[in-house]
Amino acid sequence: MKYTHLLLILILMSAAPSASWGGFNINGRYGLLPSAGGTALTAVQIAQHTNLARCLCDEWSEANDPYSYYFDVQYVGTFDSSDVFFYIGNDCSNTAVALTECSEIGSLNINSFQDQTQYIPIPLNHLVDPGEGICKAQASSSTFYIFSDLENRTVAFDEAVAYDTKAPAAPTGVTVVGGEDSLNVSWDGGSVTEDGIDYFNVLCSQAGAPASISSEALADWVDTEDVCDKVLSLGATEEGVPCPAGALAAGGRAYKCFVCASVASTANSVRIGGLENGVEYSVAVVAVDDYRNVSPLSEVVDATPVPTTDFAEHYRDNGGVANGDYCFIATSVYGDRDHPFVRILRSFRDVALMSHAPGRRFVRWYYRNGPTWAGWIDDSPMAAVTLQILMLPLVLGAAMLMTFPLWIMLAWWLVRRRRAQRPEVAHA
Amino acid sequence: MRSLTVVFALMMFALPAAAQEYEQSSIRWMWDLRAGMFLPDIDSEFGGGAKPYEDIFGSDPKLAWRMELSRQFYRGIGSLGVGADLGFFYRSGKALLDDGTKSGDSTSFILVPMGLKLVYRFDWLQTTYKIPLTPYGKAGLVYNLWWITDGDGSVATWDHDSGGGKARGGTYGYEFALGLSLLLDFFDPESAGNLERDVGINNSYIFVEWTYNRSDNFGDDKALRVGGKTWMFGLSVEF
Repeated sequence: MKYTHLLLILILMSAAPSASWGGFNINGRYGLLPSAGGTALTAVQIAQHTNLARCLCDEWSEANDPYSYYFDVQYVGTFDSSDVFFYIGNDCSNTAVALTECSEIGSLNINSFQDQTQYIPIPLNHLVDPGEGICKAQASSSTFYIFSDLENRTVAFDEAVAYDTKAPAAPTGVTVVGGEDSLNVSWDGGSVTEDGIDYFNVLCSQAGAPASISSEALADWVDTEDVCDKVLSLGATEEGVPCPAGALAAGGRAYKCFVCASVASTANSVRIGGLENGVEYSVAVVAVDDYRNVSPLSEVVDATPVPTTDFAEHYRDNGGVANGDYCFIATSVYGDRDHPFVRILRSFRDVALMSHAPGRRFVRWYYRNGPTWAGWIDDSPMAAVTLQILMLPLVLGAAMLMTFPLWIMLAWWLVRRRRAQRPEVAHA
Repeated sequence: MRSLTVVFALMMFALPAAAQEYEQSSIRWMWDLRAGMFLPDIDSEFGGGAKPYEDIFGSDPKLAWRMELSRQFYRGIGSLGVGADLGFFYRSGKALLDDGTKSGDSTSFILVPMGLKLVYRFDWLQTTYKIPLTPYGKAGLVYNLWWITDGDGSVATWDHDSGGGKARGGTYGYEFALGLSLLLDFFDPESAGNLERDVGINNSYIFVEWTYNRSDNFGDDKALRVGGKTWMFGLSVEF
């Protein structure tokens, strides 16, 4: 019983706030300081801020503000003019670990939190390599510490921060087959085995330069040019050239300027259209992960778009005569201006609509707008199918209206027949 | 002796008494889902000479789906109903190069048949002698929507170089089918009873059906022939 009381007192003492200290909170994470237009990051955006490109830019900037992100730190407690110290590393609270194995980010007087929160930078190069601050290719986590007492490593706050500076492996098994004004690119979907692949980009070049259809907008992986306007590489000491000619080389660096297609990670093929028959293109594929790291280039394959014959053309080449002329909605929907349904609607127009002013106004309105709508239908088979089904009642209605006397006669005949079949009721 | 054999066969196939212990509600509707291997008659237009469909898609039949809802308006010696059905058939192949070999581009043919038909089911054996087999027949009109896509997945044009019309349209025709369905209630009368009480399904069947579809705008030379003969298998329910 005596020991139980002692244990309870110890627990209460450890749980109670220190007499002179309150607590720290992280109010948010910012890619840019709010004063520079930064907005709070989501969890996904934080992942996309902890990649190789931002690590390299942080390493390059070193003395400047980091290009990774900031913790918005709030302090609630008493203000006694003491200092707090910010560190990044692993096991930094252990006094047996030399502080040089952790990276100091800075220190602040606790009073500076009195009227405001403070933005504390999280440099990725120190997160990846506490102590030295040199970027490495790895996926792991380090811890952000706030020490209230550096000598005793008293931790006022700590939080683990995950990062991934390791680029995915390059896809392999790339094949490229020419199509009509296009190239059909495929690769071995199982060749990139790491988790967290988000999408693949295909890169195209023509005579060493980006192909005419290439566009940086197709890629949202993060390179150092995006982050710090420098072309930096892991382990390199000199800055590179943005979008150099002839940059499509197997295993080499991927440049966004060559990207010509983007597909989900579940796909392992894509058709790249908008190319020119008879012109040779070079093609490579890269994988992009959830942290927006990009793999090196796959093997580079040369191929040339060629004219092809699809089934419709082949059918015609062999003498097939079925046609599919289109004009306006009904013919767009039913495929042929001589289609019986189109004939019914045309007859309905001539007989039922053109015989009175409101009908003629409707026909004029239809002829003004019909070609535009028909164009939409021509471009969308599913819209045509849907309209084919939806217009059936309209066609049937038009047919019934035009054969109205016949229906009256049929109804009259059915009523008479039913009356004749009805058993006579015996009268009392 | 022959009559004894017939009686014995009827007894063997007869529904267990338990299946009929619950009182069936009236049957109004029938719904079925069926699938079978289908090869459209497109190449028949060429009289055995050219085979453009086979060149690109091959000569093997591929899976086609149909779904049908019918309303029974007569019940006596069998049942008579009118039904509407909707189907889907998709075939993809490689476009051809100038030398006739396959290219990297895909091209596809999509068919959506829609039918309106009379359905007669000779379920007199089932209702009278509890034999779980019901032969049936269907006949009606069918309208087939179709379109062809080119390498980039959009609707193809008949003649690429001259920018001809879009390769899509509709072909109508007629269709009849003969089939045989097996009443599943026979195998598990208790579950069948629960199914009726809980969700209102009176009977459920598996069936096999042979379908003849002639779709060529009733002999129009300019029609794309999209009919064919098919064995289909499926599941149906009466409710």
